[in-house]
Amino acid sequence: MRVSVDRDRCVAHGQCEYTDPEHFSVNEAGVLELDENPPDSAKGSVLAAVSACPARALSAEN
Amino acid sequence: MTTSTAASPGAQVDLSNLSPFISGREHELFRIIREDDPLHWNREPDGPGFWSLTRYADLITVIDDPATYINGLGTQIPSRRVEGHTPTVHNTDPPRHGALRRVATPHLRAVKIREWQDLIESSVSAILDDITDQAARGEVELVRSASAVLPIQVLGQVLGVPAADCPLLANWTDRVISDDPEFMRSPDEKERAREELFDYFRGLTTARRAEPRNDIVSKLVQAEIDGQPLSWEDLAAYYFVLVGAGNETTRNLLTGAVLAFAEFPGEWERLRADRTLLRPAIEELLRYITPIRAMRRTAARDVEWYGRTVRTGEKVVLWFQAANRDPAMFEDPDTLRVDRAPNPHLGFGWGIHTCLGSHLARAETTAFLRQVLERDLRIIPVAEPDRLHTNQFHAFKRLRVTVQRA
Repeated sequence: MRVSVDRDRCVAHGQCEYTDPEHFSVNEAGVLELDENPPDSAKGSVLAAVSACPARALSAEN
Repeated sequence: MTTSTAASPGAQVDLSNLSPFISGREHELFRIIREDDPLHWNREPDGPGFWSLTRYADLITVIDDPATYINGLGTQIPSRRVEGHTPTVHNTDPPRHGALRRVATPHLRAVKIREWQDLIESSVSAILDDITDQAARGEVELVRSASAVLPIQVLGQVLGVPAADCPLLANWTDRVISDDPEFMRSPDEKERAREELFDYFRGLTTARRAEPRNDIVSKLVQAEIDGQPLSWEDLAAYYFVLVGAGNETTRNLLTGAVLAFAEFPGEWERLRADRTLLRPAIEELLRYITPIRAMRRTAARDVEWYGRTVRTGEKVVLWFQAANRDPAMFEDPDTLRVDRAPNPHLGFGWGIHTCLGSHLARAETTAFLRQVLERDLRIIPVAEPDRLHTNQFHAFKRLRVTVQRA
């Protein structure tokens, strides 16, 4: 699956990181670092992290 | 607005009257307007009036459109900005909002909060020792002895305020957050509290500029937006929101949790039997209690909705507390279910202005409940709580409890 972030929307709430710290991390500068091609085995937690974004900055596609 | 529904039960509801909030009957009113008057016009005795939204889906519509529904004209229900003249991050709109927000967010992430975990745990431990000791002699007042203490101690450390000065943080918050007569000793009480807070943090700012430490004040004084350091006004507004929001929220989640488990003792038994439920339980408490009942927006253009017109400049109040009990979104919404999942509650708000301190609030509440479980304590209310006189915060001034070993 593919995950992408809209950098204009992301304000580093870190709710994705809280939900799935293996595939999402906010760095010291407040910039999201993410695994853009997470394995399908992680689909459940990745999708939960995508929908946890209050700014709707994350999207996922198969 | 139209008057076609003026005679309906929903139109009669007055959410600026504080008595239902003080007596804990607010959900009766929310139910009426959620069903009967989803875009509810409320007159204000000392203001222009405001619209109220109570349906989950309607709140999301507003929150997802920050260009139409702006924060820059204030987020309190009364037509004022609580911080005074300089806007805080939550009273700022894009694009400035994002830049201001990124200054603090990296330091309040879930992984950052773990650096303060030892402090949180030891603070909880000392609090539970203290209330257990007190309980041996009789009743305990939970807010003063526990709920208000934990957030202040943690917040003080996170900000860089020495422990001895932490009671000041609570005192300023009490005086600026509401109009509760208990804290309003003079007509200019809020202004005086603000000035005291700003004076205090002016000193701390100078100290951390000279000698930075691992605390938020040090991070803020070193931060830059577009290559420029934050002005004193920006810093002051940040300190103000961090103090207020760090104080008046988690304490009410903690007190509210004790009340919620007294109402649903079976749910506490489920937590005792399975501590892995602690994580969804925290989210459910956020939904069920909703420490911030509401936040306000202002319409930046005319909007047609439900056959009415919300006009430019009119206030639109988002009742998170009502949306969190919307049966269209949550099954059996008036029941606490510690294993509720998924749980897309609005307990931290939602959208670009989502609570900045959510990870800190979760960490504090988790540590508190986990240690209560580990000690197998039962904290049982013996009277109704004293609620803060406000419709915006679901806040408790006092709650008398007994503390027993199970």
